[in-house]
Amino acid sequence: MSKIIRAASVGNEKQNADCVITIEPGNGGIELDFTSTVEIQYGDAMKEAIFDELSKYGITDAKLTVVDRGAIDPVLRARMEAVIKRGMEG
Amino acid sequence: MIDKVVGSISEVIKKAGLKDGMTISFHHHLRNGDYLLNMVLDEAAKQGIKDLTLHASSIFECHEPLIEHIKNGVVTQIMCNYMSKTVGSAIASGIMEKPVIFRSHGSRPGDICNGKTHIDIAFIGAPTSDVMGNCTGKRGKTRFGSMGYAMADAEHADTVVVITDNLVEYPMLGASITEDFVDYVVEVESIGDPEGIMSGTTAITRDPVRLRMAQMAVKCIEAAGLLEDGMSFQTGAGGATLAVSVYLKERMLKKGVVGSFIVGGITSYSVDLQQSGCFKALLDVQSFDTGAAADLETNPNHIEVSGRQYASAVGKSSCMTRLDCAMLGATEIDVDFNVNVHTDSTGNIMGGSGGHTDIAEQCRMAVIIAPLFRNRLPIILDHVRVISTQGQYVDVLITEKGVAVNENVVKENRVKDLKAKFIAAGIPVVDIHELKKMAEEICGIPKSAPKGDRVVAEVLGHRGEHVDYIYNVPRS
Repeated sequence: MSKIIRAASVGNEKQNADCVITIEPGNGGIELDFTSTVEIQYGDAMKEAIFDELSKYGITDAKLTVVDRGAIDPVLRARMEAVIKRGMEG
Repeated sequence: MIDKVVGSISEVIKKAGLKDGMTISFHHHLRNGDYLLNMVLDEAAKQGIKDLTLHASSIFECHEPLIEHIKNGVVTQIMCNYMSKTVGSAIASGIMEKPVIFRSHGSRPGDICNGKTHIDIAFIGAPTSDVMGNCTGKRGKTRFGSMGYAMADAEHADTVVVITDNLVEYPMLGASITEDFVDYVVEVESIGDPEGIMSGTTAITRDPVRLRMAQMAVKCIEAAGLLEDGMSFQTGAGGATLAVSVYLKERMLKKGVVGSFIVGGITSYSVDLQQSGCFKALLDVQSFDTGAAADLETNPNHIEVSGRQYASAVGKSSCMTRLDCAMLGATEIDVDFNVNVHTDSTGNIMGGSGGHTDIAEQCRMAVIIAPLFRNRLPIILDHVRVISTQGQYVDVLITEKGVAVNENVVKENRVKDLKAKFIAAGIPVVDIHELKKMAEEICGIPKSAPKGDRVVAEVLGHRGEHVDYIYNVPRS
């Protein structure tokens, strides 16, 4: 199991089709704050991708904020991977 | 001697006899810098007037105060051709009992001229007017260029009020609207914010995807056999469509083709095409930028046309009757080529036909340029949320992954055998269902947003006929 030991953030908040993701050490579980311009159309699919990435790295304890402006799946997953790796760094 | 000059908007509202239940009209050449509509409605509210029908050619972000006037019952119905996001979302949320009536830039003057819509008082914003109401948009500190959309209002309203911030002595020469239609002239400090009225010269997009689509559009025009002497052309001022002008100029100069006219909203790029000898004339119903407005004043081959001459079906003919090809946008398009330019994917109103419907229905080849998806939302759907322009008038869709040809176009003047002509020219023709699938492979299939059961707006077409309804966005 991996651990998020510090706060990290990725993404460009002014860029359409991108998402800004912030990760912090959690309080004993996954806490997700998710907003998206395409929440109605793709909210469920995006949340699934987010949890899928977390589980790939064995993250079970983190506070996550995702502010999405229409990122496609590969972008969302790449941002997730980057923010998790940064949060895990010593 | 008649004295038409009145000291204030408050006074002119009384003199013109504005009463509960009347219809008042506005034109949108001051665009997002317009002060007129807010000034008049604020004053009407102050005088306790209720139940007005607002007949405005377009509603912009600067008209946000309108929402309060709707809630307070000052305005109880709206008719327009375009409505931007803030007021549009309020309407979609259901703040108004009577549905908004959306017309096009052609059917609005059409329905005014044939008497279907009656205007009690028309308010006309004029960057320069003389004391008798001879006025123009070509001169003055709030210069906006063509006054085309205001002309039907001036000719048919019971009472016409010109509001100006540059009152000059009689006679002002070269008027766009003349004194014989005008009842009152009011001088105010300013009719609009120049920043919002005119964009500077709009920069051409540098997005390679959009540029590629623009290049493809020029190839399609040529393959259709339209890139010949005497061709006529129309393009919008946004995104990829503006870039088409640049590539078209290159190709026309190289081939030595001299076109006939460019019509519509005129930009600096249209002016450049005319001045480079690619087109003989500019027919201007609305000048989009400072370059176009300045050129309208000085260039004898650049003329102002009324909304009725521009695109209406009630005249004996219109500029559209002789239009070869047009570049149009879409927020959504479906597999039957129906186009939505009224709402976003959740149903919030954020636009309108403008001239879209008139152009598509009348021109020989209507081309929609749109990327496969924007911010993850696929543009091609099974069914558009709202039909703004019917698919039977849309000839071609250009995307970054290929060109779809509509084989069910009903226009008599359409260019025939487009698909075969495009394939022969090496254009990547792809079935629209295939294009839809490509987008869904990248984005996933979108869940559709819920639709309410209350009609908040009705969309009318080129001849003022019913096309579709817009329903409210339910509260989540």
